[in-house]
Amino acid sequence: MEQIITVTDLKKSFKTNQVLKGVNFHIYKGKIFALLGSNGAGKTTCVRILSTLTKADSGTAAICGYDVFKQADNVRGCISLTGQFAAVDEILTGRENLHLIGELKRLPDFRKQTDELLAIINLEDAADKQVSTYSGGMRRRLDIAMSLMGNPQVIFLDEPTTGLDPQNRIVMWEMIAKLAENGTTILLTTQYLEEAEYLADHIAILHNGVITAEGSPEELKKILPIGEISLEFMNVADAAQAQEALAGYAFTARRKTIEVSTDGSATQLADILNRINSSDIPISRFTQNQPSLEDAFLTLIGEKEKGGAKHE
Amino acid sequence: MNKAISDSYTMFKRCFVKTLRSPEAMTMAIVVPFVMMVLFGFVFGGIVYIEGLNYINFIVPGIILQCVFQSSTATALSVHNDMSTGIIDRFRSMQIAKSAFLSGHVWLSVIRSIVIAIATIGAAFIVGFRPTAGVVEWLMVAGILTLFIIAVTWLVVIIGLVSKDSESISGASFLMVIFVFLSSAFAPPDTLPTVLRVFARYQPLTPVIDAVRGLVLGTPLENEILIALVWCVGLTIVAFVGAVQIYKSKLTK
Repeated sequence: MEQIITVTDLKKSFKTNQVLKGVNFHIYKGKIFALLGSNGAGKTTCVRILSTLTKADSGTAAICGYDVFKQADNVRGCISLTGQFAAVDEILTGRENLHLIGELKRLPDFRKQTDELLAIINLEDAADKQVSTYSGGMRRRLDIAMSLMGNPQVIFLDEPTTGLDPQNRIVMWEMIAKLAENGTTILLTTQYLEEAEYLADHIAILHNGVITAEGSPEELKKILPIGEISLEFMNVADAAQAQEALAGYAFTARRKTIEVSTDGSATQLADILNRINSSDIPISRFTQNQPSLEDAFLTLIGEKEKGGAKHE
Repeated sequence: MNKAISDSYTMFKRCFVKTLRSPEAMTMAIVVPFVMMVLFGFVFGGIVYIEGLNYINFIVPGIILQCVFQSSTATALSVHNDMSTGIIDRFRSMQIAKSAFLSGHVWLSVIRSIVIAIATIGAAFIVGFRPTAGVVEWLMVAGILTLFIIAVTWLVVIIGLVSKDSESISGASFLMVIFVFLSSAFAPPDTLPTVLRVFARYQPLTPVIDAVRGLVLGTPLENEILIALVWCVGLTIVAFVGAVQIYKSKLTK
């Protein structure tokens, strides 16, 4: 498969604050790549560097075969940015906003493309109203449509659903998924795990300026050893007894319930149940919690924080 | 080069549509010159006596400059708005001429100021402005005012680029009003106390006003036209270089 974006050892500091401490990743053509991280993790800085808005201190980045720092203008020709703040002109109408981009991109058929895009984003009725009258969801949709003018090869979506209500979020997800079907490569940043899980072919977790883990959503779940089981007992005394039986395992106990961390393997699971059974403690309820990306994310961040504490 | 022109034209069209969309701004642009002519002409016209001159005739150049400043403040605001919203990032991440964004704003601003200057002169005629200038003088006036408008436009572009919020733009706009009042716009500088008189005599608005007044009314001129031209061209060069540098530095942070 062809790499369309290659990022190597990207570093960037703002004054004394080192935001990116050596970021590496690559994106294959036609894939959706999610950069996942909490607020301030450096996601936006990363997108701004790749979309030629900010210069990196060191490292290299190539998009569509062009060097992002030395051939910025060529890179601009093959990308489109939808930033965190809707980049729409409030005083113009939706249609005029699209025409503006079409004319700046010198598309001979920008009127036709505008009509098509207005239909895709379901904004035909409001096309000739000023954007200042639009709702947040409509603005966001128009914003993305403006990025789609001229069918760019690569689209950056910086937190595309932040601030949207759940209904609009789903509409947006469907739009993004449809884009990828047409072969557009998408780099999306998000702080929502479910969003990354739903949309992305590949997820990279950015934390404290480095990629702490990456892989497909399934792979990420796999490399994380956390499989938690929850055991509920008849009473607190039973639970206390069970705690003794589980010596050696990491668990948290709360009244009648014990939550045990395992590596997710059948062997460990059998061992745990075996120990409790052989101590003759009745279990009133047993549940196995599938590791969610949320767990994965929090675990990774937690571990990094423990490990990174010395640096602070 | 072709690309730069067509991109600038697209940006200009955007600014133009936006100007037409704000009816208050357009109405203000036409009404304010008229009201100012009436207020100053009739309120102070009766009490101010300047030898050999009708007060309405005297204040026309100052009012024109005042109205140009008023119109230019809108440019500072729209540059500021574009810079502080996501729209500038979208433009910058596109393959368009780097100069297009600023030149779109500048072209629109210059043309709008010229229209307003003409409207001001029209309003002046209605309230009793009686110039003696011939075609040559009027062409010279047009030249000086156009150069002045270009200089002011680049200055307000700087204001728009560096302002943190719209309040600081109002502050800058107030400063412009002070420059107009502390010039030869409404009273000859000789009538002012020493410090202010020195300021009024050597600041750039006074030679521009004196040159326009001399040409329009046929009053005697020494080297005011030359001084006015030097000021306008000098300010344009400084403000242009400054604006472009500030714009670039804002973009590479």
